[in-house]
Amino acid sequence: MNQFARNLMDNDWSEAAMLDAVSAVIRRDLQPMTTQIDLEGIYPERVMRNLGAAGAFYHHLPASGHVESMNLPVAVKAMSRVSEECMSTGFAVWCQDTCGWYLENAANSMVQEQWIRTVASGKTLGGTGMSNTMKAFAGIERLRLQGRRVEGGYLVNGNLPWVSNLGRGHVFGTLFALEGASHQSVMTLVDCDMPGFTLKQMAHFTALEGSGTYACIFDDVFIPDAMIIDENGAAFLHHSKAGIVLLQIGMGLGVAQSCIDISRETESLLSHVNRYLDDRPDDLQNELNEINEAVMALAETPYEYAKEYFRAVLQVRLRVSEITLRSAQSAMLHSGAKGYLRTAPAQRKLREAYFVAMITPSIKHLRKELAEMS
Amino acid sequence: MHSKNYERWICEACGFIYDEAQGDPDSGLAPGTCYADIPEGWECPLCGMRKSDLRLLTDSPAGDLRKTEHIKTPDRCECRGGAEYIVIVGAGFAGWSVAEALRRIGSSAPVLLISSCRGDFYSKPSLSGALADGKTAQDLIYEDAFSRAQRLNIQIRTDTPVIQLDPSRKRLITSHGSIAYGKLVLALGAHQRELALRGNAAHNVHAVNDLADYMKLRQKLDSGPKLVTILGSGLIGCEFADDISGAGHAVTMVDPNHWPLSRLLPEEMAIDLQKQLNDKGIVFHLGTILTTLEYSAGRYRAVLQNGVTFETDIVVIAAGLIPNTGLAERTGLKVDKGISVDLQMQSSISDIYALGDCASVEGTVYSYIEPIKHQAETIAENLTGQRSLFSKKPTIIKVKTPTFPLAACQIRKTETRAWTVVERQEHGCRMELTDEHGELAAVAISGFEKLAARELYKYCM
Repeated sequence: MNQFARNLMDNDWSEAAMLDAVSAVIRRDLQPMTTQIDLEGIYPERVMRNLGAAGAFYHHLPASGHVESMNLPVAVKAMSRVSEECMSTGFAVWCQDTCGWYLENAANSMVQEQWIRTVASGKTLGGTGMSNTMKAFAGIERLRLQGRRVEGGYLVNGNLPWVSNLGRGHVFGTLFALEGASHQSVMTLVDCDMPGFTLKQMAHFTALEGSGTYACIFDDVFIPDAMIIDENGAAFLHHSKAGIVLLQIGMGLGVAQSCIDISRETESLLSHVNRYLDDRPDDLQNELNEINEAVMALAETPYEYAKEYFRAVLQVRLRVSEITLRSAQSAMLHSGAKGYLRTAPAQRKLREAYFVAMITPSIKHLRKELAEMS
Repeated sequence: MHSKNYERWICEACGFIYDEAQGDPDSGLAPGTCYADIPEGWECPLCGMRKSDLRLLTDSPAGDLRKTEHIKTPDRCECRGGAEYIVIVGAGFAGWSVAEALRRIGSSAPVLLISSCRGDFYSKPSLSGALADGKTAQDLIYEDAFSRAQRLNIQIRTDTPVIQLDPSRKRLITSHGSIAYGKLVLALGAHQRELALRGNAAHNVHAVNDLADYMKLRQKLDSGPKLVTILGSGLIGCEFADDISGAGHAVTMVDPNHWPLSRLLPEEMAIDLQKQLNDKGIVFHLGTILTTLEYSAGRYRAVLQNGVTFETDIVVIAAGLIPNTGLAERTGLKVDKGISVDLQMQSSISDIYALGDCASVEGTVYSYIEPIKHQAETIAENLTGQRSLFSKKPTIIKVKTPTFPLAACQIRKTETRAWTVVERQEHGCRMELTDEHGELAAVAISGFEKLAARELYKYCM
């Protein structure tokens, strides 16, 4: 038996128990409000708290003390299950998981010790303001936050357009450029209740409205040293980026799977005509299973250094975007008019699928990075 | 108002367009409000960004519009192998050599070569001599992957890293789906040792281990004279130093050992090399290591353990290679210094072979071209039903430092370091190392230029 299989066996018990508990929360708390989340933009706070209590947010966070060893694959699986039902909530799970991941990888033990347990359990809800950072490091745009060293911490100014899973009492991880020092950046945790920090709801989106997404305005926000995750932002990102990208994949896997399920459900009524369509459920399922296998294998070693490893992570992330779009289109075409109803899951999933393809790293971003790697 | 040429501004964050002619009435900006008159407190109605996030919208595109050669997701019809396939993972010299050897001995078995990169065929030893040869990185490509595959009548998958081996079902998991094999050859190569450095630029060290890495280095070197720091004064470090310095760059070498090529050469000969390189302007910091690399104001500042600090533009690491064994370890293949193989080049799991920089033949990793060629032939013969064994011949190592040509050969292992000069000539000398039993254990020759290697062959063969 190989190491991969052994790890799976060891983790089997707690993994299965957690996934069962997550499924129960989905059935009991999330399912009844999925349409409402989509149409009315309600943030499912109770669902998030209950998912946290079920253990959905800590299997990749051994520093939280909730688990002995890291199991990133099962964190992806939990997110995928939530996203099968509602990707707006699946996205909030990703934000939470990623916020925890920043703390897991924190160079500063103070911030880790103070926050990781409650973020891991869902008592503190958290987000990630790293889209700008990832784009800046890929040469797509400039860093939007600037920090100046002051006694005991930093004063941070600037704006982030859209950060999710936020609200009063929430925290999120982000990175700011250090003023007066070219190419130096600092990774920090931000408490949404800090003086000078404002959340603003600006635009409305075509989906994922229930994800607590706000513009973040920093007006001389004092960030004490105790909140700094890593004084060396570039090194932090280098170390943690594979995990960030891999975690995100849970959203796409879930939406793609639920789209395939929708297509398959139509078969008893429509297979005589659906057989003329491309991307039939069995074909997509085979492809998705293989992607799933690749994701789970990659997620076993999120700190692997080899550049081939990160290339594979980006490629798999790209494939997830592509299959999610195809599966959603397929679910629409297989469903026909029934999928076109305002409350139909198929049309909601179509909108969710575009998010998978457009959230950082988007398809174009991934192709740029991959092209520059070869 | 109408006579004015209104401008349009775009929000960098979300793409909202502020058209001066239309203003932003919802925020109280009347039509005709110019950018200069937008109050500082204004916020982008879509994303909340401020006035300073707007930039002038011009008709010219943000970048080159030519179709970029992007990584396309492979066609789902691409070769997925099969039980009849010999699948080779890795398109470096080792991987390509197996494909060639198979065809040379007349095998018509279906072969699929999988490369995590572009897979073009080039000579890796030439990377550290390209500047002197007046070659660009592109010039080093001897044949592109697809032409070579076609010529050898094999299938190829490029840009396809292998993520996992599944020997129980004889398949590989890749980001582009699974690939089945009958026989598997691992030619996974090695990676540069990563140093634990401090400083904000700790990750900006160039590891030059393949053509893509080299292209990135050349982009910097070709833009004008640079201060180049090379970490490690082994074979690759010295070759790069000589080559890069010859092209007009100022080179500094840092190495924890007390003389260059310390694993290969006797001290006396190494010091001769060091002198020659010194005369060329290369600065040596020996017996110390780089501890910190900071970047500010367009330049790096290197701090050594011995307290010396200096400025540099580029830092290249050549501190030794580590076999790529992660994939094998995760699969449960036996690994020692590299993937353990026997003299038939067979790993601990049947139908899986390994060679080159990633493989350890009975405890020894062979990283030079000659033995790898021989390993490839051994594998090809074993794959086609013959029983063939790799023979461990001493390897002649030529050091391509044109300033002071060197060659060395280790014939047998020994702990003794008592080298003796057996012949001295105008430009160099020949030295020998004798083991505790009085047997010749190693030979090194310097300054003989092209004759050096031939001289050594006389000795060793």
